[in-house]
Amino acid sequence: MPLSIPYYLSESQLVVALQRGEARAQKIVYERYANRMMAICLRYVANQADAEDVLIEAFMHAFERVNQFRNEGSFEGWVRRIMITESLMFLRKNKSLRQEVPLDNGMEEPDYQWADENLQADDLLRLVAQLPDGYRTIFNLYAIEGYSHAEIATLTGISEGTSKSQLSRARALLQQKIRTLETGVKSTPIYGKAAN
Amino acid sequence: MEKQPIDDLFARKLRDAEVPVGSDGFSQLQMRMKPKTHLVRRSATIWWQLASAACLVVAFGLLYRASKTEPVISQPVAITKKGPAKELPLNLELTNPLTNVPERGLQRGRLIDSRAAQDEQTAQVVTYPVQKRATLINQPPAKPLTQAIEPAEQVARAKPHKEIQQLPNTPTITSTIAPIIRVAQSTERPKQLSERTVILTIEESETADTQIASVNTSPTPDPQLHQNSLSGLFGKIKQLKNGEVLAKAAPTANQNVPRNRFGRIFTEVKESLKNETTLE
Repeated sequence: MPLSIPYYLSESQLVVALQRGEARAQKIVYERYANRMMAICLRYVANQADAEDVLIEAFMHAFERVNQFRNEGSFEGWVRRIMITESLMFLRKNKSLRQEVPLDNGMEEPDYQWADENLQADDLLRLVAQLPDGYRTIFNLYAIEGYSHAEIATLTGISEGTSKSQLSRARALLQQKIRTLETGVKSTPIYGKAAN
Repeated sequence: MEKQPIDDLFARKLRDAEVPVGSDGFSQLQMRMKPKTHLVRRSATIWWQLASAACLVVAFGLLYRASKTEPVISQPVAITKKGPAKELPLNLELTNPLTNVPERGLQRGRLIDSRAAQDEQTAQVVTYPVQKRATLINQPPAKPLTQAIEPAEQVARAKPHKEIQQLPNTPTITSTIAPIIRVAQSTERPKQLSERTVILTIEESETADTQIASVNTSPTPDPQLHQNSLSGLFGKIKQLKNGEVLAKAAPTANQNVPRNRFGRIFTEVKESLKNETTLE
């Protein structure tokens, strides 16, 4: 990420410049938030190319609707919500929110401490991307973004019951995958130096 | 549903995660945004262009409407030769510029329209543009009048007269335009002939008078002449100067007399100068 000297001292000045349509302010906003927003889009879309398209569309809408920002909360949170909305719209177009995957019953829960210590953000992103679109969406909205099932139902157009069932299925799948990784790592012998 | 440890795990790790984007991301964003912003600007400029075009159309329409109104042309005013005597300020005299002799009926300090007093029966109506009359009257003198030596004075002093003295065989063309009024204030010694001011008036000759009289009694012009006259606006202007045109068209007895007005003036001045030399 190129180092850019901040042109505007505060977020409010940046917002004012965006509302005036200054291209320089737009570039600063993009450089400041693009990587983080890309991770959000990738969590929902699970495809690099599609995630980039969603990212650009979302930034475009953000710059066009910047006059609607009323300084209620942070500007980053406002842009984040736009990213999520655009991602959901993309998923709705593909009608992939109702996919379901059969689960293995009786799965043991993984060692979360081991997972916290050993699994990085990229690993977890990879695990989330392996979920079906519906499970992934509900899990992201509930577990990471903090939406309630009622809000999720409004955003996605599904019922609260569907939202709850898909969340539990998503959790179960993620636990299974972490457990698989854990057992796989733990089962792999660690070869030490041969003693002379 | 309560949050579970797996929710916390993924929330802590993925909430602020970053994934690097391509370097051309912003340029792609600008390319997608340009047409829309350009459209917004273009729509604004289009409105300005439409407004300016509308103003131009309105301005041209007003100008066209103004140009369509008839121009103010000095309407010809009928000047009758008969007219009341006009009292003028003192020290004004009317003289025949050609002969430098005060006209009949003139009294110092009082101007009498000689044409009106001359012949009441043949009151003639000659139309002249008002502007023309005004320019002639309002001509300022070339030199200060105090220094001008009026030949009329000189002649008047030399030869007291009781009637109009007109030199014989002087082809004069008198016009019905009010004679030029000069302010005679000088009492100085008369200067030489070359220093005298010459005031031009146009007096129609007797032959021309009869012609005019005959013409003006029948104001309708000769159709044959009109056939040869210029058409359109120029023809109308010519018609305003009926006397001139008709006089021009009519054959003159003396072929040496020039047809145009300035030619006649020139010959008359020439004759008057000759006569002055003979008088002296």
